[in-house]
Formats: sequence, structure tokens, C-alpha cells
Amino acid sequence: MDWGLFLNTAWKGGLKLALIVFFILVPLMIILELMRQTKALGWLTERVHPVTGRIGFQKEALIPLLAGFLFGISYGAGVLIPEARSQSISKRQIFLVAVFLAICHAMIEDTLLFMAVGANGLYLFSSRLILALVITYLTSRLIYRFRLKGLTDA
Amino acid sequence: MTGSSESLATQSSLALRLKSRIKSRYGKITVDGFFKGLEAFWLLVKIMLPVYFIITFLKFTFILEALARFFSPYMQIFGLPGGAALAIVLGNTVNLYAAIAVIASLKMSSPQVTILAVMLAVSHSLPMEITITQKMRTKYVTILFLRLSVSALVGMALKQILL
Repeated sequence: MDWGLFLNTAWKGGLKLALIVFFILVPLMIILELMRQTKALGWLTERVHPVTGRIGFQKEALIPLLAGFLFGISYGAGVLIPEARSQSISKRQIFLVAVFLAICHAMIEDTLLFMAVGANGLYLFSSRLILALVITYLTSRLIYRFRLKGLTDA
Repeated sequence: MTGSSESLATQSSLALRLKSRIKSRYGKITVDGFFKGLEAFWLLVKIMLPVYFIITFLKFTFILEALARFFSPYMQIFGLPGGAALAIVLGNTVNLYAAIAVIASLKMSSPQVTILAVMLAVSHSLPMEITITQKMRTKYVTILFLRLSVSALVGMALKQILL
């Protein structure tokens, strides 16, 4: 094993990763904060809630859900972890967000990436979205009916 | 709505001092967002960098290739050539970019590419993303099992539909 090459790749790649996270996450958080403190988020929430409410999401779960759906799990979590700590969102809601995002996240980037090598974008997008909706719905029914605590707690 | 989401960062003395100098309401909100962004950035980087180093280390060993060789006979379950195993192993451990590089080098029909793409889109970058979901105080076994099983099931289902 070539240690020199490994160390070189590792620190350069690590720095690049940190920079990418910084330049996506900070503007994202500024936009979210602007939306949160103005009427924009309330407006959006009212529009999306009829759908997301039906599969078990409460309104406070929508911001991390949307962030993850569009930009990816890391950025969704970047939004969600601080909110989870401020306890404005319940454990079950966090678990549901995690389940939904596990299957369906970074829908812009991933879809474009695979379309570039020849995958059918329509199949790719719709199958992930439908699966996530169905599985989240089933999970929410399960955890609210049977109170499956062991499933959700870390 | 502001009360419920106050974070430590937006109440730091630096943030408060900056906000007192800015008159515009949107300027103040931007400062709030910036400091929240910094907080979230630091949180994520602390999680992501160690995982990144471990995965990069693995890439330099023979372990991932050996895994791919082990899984290649099973690829016909999904209607895929044996070489697709390397894309699946690299995609699930390293990241999607590593898998894309392999896919580009394989000769597959377009339904096959779609099957592989959906499977990888559901389940990828597991060490990194599972660690992150775990920080959301969610049991990692549940999410790991969910992603791998959904990925396999969707692969088998799409084989029936597309091939």
C-alpha cells in the first residue's frame, strides 16, 4: 500500500469535502432562516402539508424534509440535528424524516448524475419517490399504533 | 416561529453584537442564518471527515475488490452482469461518483443501467450517511436494513418490469 499517495488523497479530499459542505450549507441555512422568519415558510408549509400530513409528517418536520429531499442527507441532517437538539421536533417525527430521506434524497443531484450515464430519469425519480411515500406511511402507522420505541431510539 | 428554533450560535456574543449594528430586519435574519450555518457546518464536518478518512483508506486496500468478486455471481438476480458488483460495492461504501465511474466502463443495456441506478440511488455511501442519520438519534441498524433490503427488492422488481 502506498502511504504517501493515501495521505495526499485523504487530506486533499477531506479539505475539498469540508469546503463543499461549507459553501452549500451556509447559504442554505441563510435562505432557510429568511424563509422561517418571514411568511414564505408558512406559505410553503400550507401547500405541502396536505400531502405530507397524510403520510404522517407534522409541520415542523417539513424544513429538514425539504432540505434533504432537494440537497441530500448531509444537508438535511445539517438542518435537522440542531432542530432535534432544540427539541422543537419529536423523536418519532425525526425517525420518519430519517426513513423518508433514507430512500429519497438529493433528488436533483442523484437523478442528473445517473441520467448522465444513461439511466431513465423518470423511472429513477418516480420509483424512489413512490417507495419513500409508501414506506414512510407504513412506518408512521406502525410506530403510532404499536409504539415501537426500540425501532426509533438510538 | 422564531422562539422554538433559537440556537446557541445565534445567541453568541459575536452574533448579538453584529445584529445590534444592523438596522435592516433582513440583515439581522441573514446574520442569524449565517451563524446557524456555521454551527451546522461544524457539526457535519466533525462527523464526515473521520468517516471519509476511513473509507479512503479502504479504497487503497484490496478489501473492496474482494467484496465485489464475492458478490459478482449474485448479480443475475437483478439481471445485471457480474461486473456490476463492483459498482454496487463502491457505491455503497465510497460514494456514487466511484460507482458512476464503474458504470461508464461497463457494457450494459439501458434498462440494465436504469435498474442499477435505482438500486444505487436507494442505497449508497452507507458509512457516511448512516453515521449522519445516527446523529439524528435514529438507530442505524434500522436504516441500514431498510436501505439494503429496499434496494435489493426494487432491483428484483425492476428486472421483472424492464427486462
